[in-house]
Amino acid sequence: MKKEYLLLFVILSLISFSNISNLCKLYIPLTYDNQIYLAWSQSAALHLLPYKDIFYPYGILSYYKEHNIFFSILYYLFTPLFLTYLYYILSKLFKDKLFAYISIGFLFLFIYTYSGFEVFTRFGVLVMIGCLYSYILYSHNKKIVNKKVFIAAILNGLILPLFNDQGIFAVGLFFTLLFIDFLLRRSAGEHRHIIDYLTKALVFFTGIIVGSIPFLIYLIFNGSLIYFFQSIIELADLTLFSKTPFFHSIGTPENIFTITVLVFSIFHLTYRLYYLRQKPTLHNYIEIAVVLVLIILEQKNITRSADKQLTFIGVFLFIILFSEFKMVLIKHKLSHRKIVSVYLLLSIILLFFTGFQKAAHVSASGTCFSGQLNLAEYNIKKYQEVKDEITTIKDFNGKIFSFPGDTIFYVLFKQPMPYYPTSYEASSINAQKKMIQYIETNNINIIIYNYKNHAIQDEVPNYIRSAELHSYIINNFAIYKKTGEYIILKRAKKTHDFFDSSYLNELSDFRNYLLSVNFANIPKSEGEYKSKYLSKNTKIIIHANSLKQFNESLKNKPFNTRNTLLVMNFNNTNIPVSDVTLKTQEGKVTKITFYTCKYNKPCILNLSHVPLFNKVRNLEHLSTSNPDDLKSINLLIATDENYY
Amino acid sequence: MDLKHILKLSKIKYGLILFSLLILGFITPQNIFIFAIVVIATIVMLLPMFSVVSKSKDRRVLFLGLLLLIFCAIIFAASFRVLRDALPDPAINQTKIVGYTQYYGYPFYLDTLVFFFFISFPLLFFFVIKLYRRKK
Repeated sequence: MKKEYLLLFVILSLISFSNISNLCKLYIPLTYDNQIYLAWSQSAALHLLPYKDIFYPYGILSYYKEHNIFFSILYYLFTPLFLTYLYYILSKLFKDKLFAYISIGFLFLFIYTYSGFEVFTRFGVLVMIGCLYSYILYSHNKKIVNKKVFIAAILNGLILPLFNDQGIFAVGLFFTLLFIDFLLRRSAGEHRHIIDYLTKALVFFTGIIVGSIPFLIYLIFNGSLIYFFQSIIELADLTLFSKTPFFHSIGTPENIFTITVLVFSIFHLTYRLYYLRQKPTLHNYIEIAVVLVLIILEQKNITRSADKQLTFIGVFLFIILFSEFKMVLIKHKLSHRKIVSVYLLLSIILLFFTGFQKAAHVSASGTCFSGQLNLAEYNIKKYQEVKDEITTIKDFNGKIFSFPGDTIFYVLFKQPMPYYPTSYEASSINAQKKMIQYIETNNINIIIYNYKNHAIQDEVPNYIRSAELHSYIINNFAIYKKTGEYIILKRAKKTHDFFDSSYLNELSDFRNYLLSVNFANIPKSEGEYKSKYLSKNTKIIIHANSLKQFNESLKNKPFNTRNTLLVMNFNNTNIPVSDVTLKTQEGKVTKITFYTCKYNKPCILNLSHVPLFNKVRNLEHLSTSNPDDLKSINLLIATDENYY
Repeated sequence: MDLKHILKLSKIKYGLILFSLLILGFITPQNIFIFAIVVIATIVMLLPMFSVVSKSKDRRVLFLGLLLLIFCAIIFAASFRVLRDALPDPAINQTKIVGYTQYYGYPFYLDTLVFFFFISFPLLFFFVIKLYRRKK
């Protein structure tokens, strides 16, 4: 029996050999993501510590897998190990080796073709541990269960540092399964004392502590303990700024398949266990665990599309469902051969016919060194030109900062990158302050500004996402030179004016990006929502019923734009998009475009976050393309932080 | 047609239909036609399962649940904008993070709420049916 699993493990290790290429990634082409991975890889090589020195959300296994032989071996062996365990579970479900072998072969081919080994290692661990918990809880022997729970908890504790998120999810999964086990046994008339469950929970908790000891020693030894917990708390910010609407991506074949299998499984489980009140089987326990895993991971998918990464779990759930369906077919006295042929056809269709996106396979040929050499020759040229230009600057101290986020420059300058790799990860105000602190403490005098990159992610303009950081850059650095799509900014005196630069006039695209601000994507509801704060925490500077009256007030006494809100009320108009052109006392002009607000609902513009007004200026004149539609126009000083 | 009949066909027709669809899927370019083929193939694949359900004593309840689920999905799709506007706006201020949802005014929890509605739908459905039968 054990020999069979060992043999399968060896075979799976051999056929997943191409996974070894993930230990020496080539990071080609140098996309936004690949640049970050490369910079993280360099950070590990520079012995920077995750959580303490840099932001790293994936756990220490993937951080060290390219640089530490222990983690390399561990990473490589996880795929065959997880698959062998899943085979063990499938053989228990099908009670038929042929079906179990077909299933594991089908799952392996699916992972190889669509998900990729890297994704399977990351998310497969939760599937594997979910099945393990279900298998243990299904057992009827109390003493053995507690012993097994303890061992499984130690395993969970060991997994926690390797895959932070999956390790934490697994803890939640255990307690949810424990509660479901309590309900199922109650429903089936098998009354167990609540003390039994509290004991199991306590045993599990103790096991987690024991399993986490090596990681705690690692954190204490490196002085990273507090930083680790801080970084876990900060992950909540990540969900806030990375959230994109789920509905626009729900129609992918991967999402349709996974969600259909998930909803169908829940329907089937509820029918059997709640409606018919049948005694739960091992099938049901395993099915519940995989359904819970999918529900947990679908939350990630809803926050940011991860549909292609979760399809293999949908396939595994499909296999479990078929194992139950097989029992029904047998009940209908269908021949084994017919069931096998139907199962094979279904598997083939899922493998080749669904339109799922295939996984990118990195070639395992060639050495790591030759790969990096290719990378240097074919991909780094444009970045190298920028580096060459910077190194000729007379007082250059060897340190740079990249905005909004070409992390490849940190690799090229062999410089430890900031805690957050790009302004995307540094979307929160505290993170932006940390970036500013990095520039200050490292005495950075050069900023490489990618002026072609207007929105690092999700079409949100960089100067809105990173208003604090962008404002700091504009006020402390001046344009030195343009190289390709990059502008080299050099530290300037505090009194300098970014918009006085003669270079800026030559860079019409960049100038236009900074001075023609498009807020039109912000929905009307946002302005309407903010209007409730207007009466409470603001001080009116100008109140005018017409544009002419407003401009006359400005003429009599120009006002500076520090913490200033421009509030416009419109008549009942059909014009969907409005604009406002603001002129400063020095003659500088900026145009802001936005959705026209509804009648009696004000449009609120925070001028401090418009790039021209990142520096405090005196406002002289205001114009708009639809002045007749204006009902009133006010200039206010905001005394709270409800506006952006 | 019962399950036995459908799977009796598996030797010749059922298998042949699936196999033909498979070949068709291979030769069809990735466009709208492949979507149609996938839909047909899914229906064909689900035939044995529908057959099992149709033989069940609870077939009416099961098909009703399935139809209601599809109906709810259509209702949600049609009333998406109304739902979006009904939920509190994503507050943005100087200390809050600015991402896609905040910038475009998308309510943070809307899709999570809809998702949880759909996955808890079977439980709600069977609860109502049980309640109805008890009253009867």
